[in-house]
Amino acid sequence: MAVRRKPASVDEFIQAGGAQPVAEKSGVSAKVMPEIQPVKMRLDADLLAQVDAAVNSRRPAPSRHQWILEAIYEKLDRETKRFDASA
Amino acid sequence: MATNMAVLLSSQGRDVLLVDADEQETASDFTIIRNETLAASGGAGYTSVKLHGAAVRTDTLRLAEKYDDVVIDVGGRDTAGQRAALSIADIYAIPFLPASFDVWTLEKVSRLIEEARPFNDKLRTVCFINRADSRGQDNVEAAEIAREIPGLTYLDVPLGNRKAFRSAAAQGLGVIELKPADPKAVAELMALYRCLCDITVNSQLPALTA
Repeated sequence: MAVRRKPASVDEFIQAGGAQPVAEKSGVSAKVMPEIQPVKMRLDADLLAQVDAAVNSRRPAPSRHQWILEAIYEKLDRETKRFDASA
Repeated sequence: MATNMAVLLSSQGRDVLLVDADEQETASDFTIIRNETLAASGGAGYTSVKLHGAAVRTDTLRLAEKYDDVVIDVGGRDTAGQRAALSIADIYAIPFLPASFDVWTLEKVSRLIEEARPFNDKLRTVCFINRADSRGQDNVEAAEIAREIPGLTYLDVPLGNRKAFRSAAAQGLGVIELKPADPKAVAELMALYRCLCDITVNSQLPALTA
């Protein structure tokens, strides 16, 4: 349709925005946020110092939180592959 | 751009709300890292919320009166969130690359802005070059085309393609906070900031969208 009538209301104007997930149009958040569970870790101070040294050796340096997350994902990835190989 | 503006405004003692209306949620990720980086000194220094679709309009209008400034980060796509931001913003600031496809996109954005004007008569729209080339004619040619696009004011305050912007963002910092500092990057951002402040100086709701 080449010719469209002018939106009658601001709501109509907003909802004409394409490309957003259909769920968003229905008022439901399109991206379901994973539940975040805070975990308190107890680490040996020397171990933490090693972590910080590894963090600071990277350029650009990630946050400590990001570095630990990467470590967790790498570990999970290795464990999953090991499990798949033995299955 | 939005995160750098939020950091800059809060560094001036302003109470800032950063609304992340981009599906990529970069501003929220930035704030998470920033809160961790600056945990010892009180965290991000501004308030950040994620909003999508029509809520970008309704919830921002409700929250705006509690803050000095509202910065809304919208993606480049024509989404309900972007339109909702256009319906309430005082300034719509559009960064674009000095490249053909980006400049052509400005024409589409211009048409969207014209659609939005009946619902927001205070809307002012500006564009500026982001990741400007350090040499060559592309910046000049892109600026010439941008100046011709109706409904958009071209601001001659380009941000260069500088590693400092990326390095700062990776640490949850504004480029003004990066150490060692990149004076050129800081100067460029401050020039853009002053331009936007000049535009908003008489506004009651200095909402910026990027």
